Amino acid sequence: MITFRVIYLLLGALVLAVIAASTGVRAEGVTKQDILNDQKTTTDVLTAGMGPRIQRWSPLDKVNKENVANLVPAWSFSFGGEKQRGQESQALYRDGVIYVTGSYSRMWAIDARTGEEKWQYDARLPEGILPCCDVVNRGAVLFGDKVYFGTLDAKLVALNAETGKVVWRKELGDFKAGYSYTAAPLIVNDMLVTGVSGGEFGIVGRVDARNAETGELIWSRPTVEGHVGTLNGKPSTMTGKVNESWPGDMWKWGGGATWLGGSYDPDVNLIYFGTGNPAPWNSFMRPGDNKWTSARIALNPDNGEIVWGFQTTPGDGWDYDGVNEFIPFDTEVDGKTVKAGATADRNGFFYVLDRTNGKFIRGFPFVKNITWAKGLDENGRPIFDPKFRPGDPTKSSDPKKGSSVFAVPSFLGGKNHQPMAYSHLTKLFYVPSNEWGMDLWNTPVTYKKGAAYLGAGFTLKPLFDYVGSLRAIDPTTGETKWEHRNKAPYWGGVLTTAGGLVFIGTPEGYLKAIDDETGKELWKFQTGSGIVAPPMTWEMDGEQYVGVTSGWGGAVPLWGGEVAKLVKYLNQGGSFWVFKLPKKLAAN
Amino acid sequence: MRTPIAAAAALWLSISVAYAADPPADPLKSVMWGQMYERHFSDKPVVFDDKVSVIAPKLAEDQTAIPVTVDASALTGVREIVVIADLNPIQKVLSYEPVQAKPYITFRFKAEQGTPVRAAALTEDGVWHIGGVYVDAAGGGCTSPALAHGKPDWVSRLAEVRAKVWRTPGQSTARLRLRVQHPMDTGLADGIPAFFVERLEIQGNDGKVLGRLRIYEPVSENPTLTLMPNLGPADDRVIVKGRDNEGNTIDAVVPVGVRSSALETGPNRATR
Repeated sequence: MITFRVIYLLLGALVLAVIAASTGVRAEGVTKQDILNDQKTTTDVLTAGMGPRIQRWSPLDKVNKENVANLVPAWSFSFGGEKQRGQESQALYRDGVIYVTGSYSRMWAIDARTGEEKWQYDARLPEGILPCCDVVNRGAVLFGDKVYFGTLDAKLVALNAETGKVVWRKELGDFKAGYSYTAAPLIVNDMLVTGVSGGEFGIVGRVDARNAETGELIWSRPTVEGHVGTLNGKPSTMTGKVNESWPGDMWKWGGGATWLGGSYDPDVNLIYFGTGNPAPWNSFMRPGDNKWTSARIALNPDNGEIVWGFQTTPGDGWDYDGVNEFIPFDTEVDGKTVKAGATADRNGFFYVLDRTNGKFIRGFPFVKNITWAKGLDENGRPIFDPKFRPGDPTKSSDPKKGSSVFAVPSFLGGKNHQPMAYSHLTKLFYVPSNEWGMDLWNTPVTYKKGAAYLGAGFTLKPLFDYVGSLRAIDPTTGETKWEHRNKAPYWGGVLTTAGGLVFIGTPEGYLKAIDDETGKELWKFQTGSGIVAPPMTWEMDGEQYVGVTSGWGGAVPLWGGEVAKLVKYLNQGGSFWVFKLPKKLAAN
Repeated sequence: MRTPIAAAAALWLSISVAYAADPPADPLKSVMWGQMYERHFSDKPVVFDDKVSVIAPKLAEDQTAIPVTVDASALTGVREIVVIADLNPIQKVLSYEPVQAKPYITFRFKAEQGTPVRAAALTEDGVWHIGGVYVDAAGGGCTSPALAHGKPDWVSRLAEVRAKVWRTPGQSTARLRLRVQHPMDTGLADGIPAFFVERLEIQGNDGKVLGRLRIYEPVSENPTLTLMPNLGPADDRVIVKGRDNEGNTIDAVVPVGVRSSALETGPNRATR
């Protein structure tokens, strides 16, 4: 009897081993090295941005200019429920599974071969969350055996990637004070690095680094001068000095939200984050540069100290957040290779900086008819045009409203959250820009916890008969090689591949493939709702796949003024689409 | 290589299935008993046993909060108590390991319709002893939203514990009553995801485990439990630890009082 039992046990173990081998149960999770190699390895997409440098570049060329016209859907997955709204998430892929987040802080794991759901996670959100610009989420990150994302009530959640069960949950800020979280977290070494959202409510921006395994806070760095950071549970250093570039106690609710996540460059071992506008919008209440709002900052991953900062809009008065992604890339300056980084700011200027020290290399406008600044000086500081700063309400005949100006670009920016891509093939940046302006005026305001802290009124207006302009920009000259226009604003981000293609979605619902050298449209597909998310691509079973989230929403329909009228007929949705080439085209 | 392994696997499976006996006849004559037996109890011998007492109302006054007391202290060596409501959309209500406690638990649960409520006590000889009663109830207990839903402030008191523990002079068994503030959403109410306390552990002074609970969606909003832990003379407090399925933690310390009646003092709020 005993021998029989032993045999059964052995057989049982053998059966389990065979099952494990055939279903490819992973031996180990995502490693640090896997994260650093994310761009090179086409068989996984572990990070938002497709690599820590977030270049949104894939070396895959199986889908290319010659065959992209044959691209067809493989499957589509509905997010279901009544919770639609904006879907701004870039999906991840690993070991046959797609991980995609959605509106209202939801996440799905989907079988990448069949489109069948593996698990769904729904955050139970409290009443009274305060997202400024729709209930979006921009993606997750895979590391170890977990998948991480943040929620609208400012919580960071670690889920078991296999089961979708919560491993831990940490608070990033008090949602009642206006904190929320929508970006995709960043993995740096063994740390999970995040920012915060909520700049319109007078919160203070921060970059936090946590132990990715336990969620324990390692360091925290406030972006606004006067606030003190932490390191290993103890107060560390102050950001800047109190009142260096802020008057009175305005820095206490100074904004500078780090709401769009960051990038990391392993060559120079620096973390890059952009910071949002200073609060409130009314700049007469806070004369000065208001550091480090509307800036790019570089942080030392070991202690969270700011290594350098570069303000794109010092003393901002137009809601020109400086959050837009900073993409490390190498470029030639006077015949020498320079470790540079590029960013296309909300304020309409494109900047190339030395990523080791933040020194300005060059800058140029990437949208038309900029009014608020006449240009950039030799240090990259804007040459303000005082005629286009909205007036001081205290100097106005009507103390409740300062004089109004028409500023270009609008506060939704020459480029907003929708990420650009850098091609290793063409050495061009593909920038999803928008041409629009705004009437803007200041009003008096006082800070109140959890209330909007703007001190401004505004209306957006289009400038031409189109708003969206996808531009191929040469970072060495500032030249726009080509432009691909779209009636509605581009809000979805770009992917570029070694196949010579640029992929972008439109609010009208099309996913498009565009020739990276000419700007010619080579393929498009109607996904049924507006695309406001960046596409991604991966290789599986020897074939190249392209995936994109579809679901109209985001800030434009909420804040777009006259532009919102252009897009108000667009319907909401919530789905993930996957495309591939047919294995064999059907014979005639 | 593949064929012999598959054949061996089939043989192994067929033999393990063959071990499973037919379920004993159900005194409550539930249409779901067969499935309940397969799912939860078929790995071990099962007996229906009056020594497992289940006390619940014949007709529930409120289908979202039906009080139940399970007392298996007539048995010795109880390792685990599992509570099942056959006709609920989610049948498993809770499981309780009375590590250093009397095999006794009081709780409230939600019923979707009239249903048998069973408690199965696993004794150390590896036998399930099952007792149960039928509770009639109006419909909808599991699919209606929690009262917390729509109250904007529920989150500010989430996972708060109110508890009281008191000894009866001359006895080692104390009585612990605790309530955890939690909506206990089943995920079956429209548009509200599942959100429920999933683990609770009761510890003595030095962190030794007195009882361990797995809680499932059918337990009522703001889970309210009575347990009877065995306290040593030095135990002047009971520690309550746990978490919900969203990773929110429950953490409370409850001072031990010596009282013959709970009515002699006002409500005692545990410190977090």
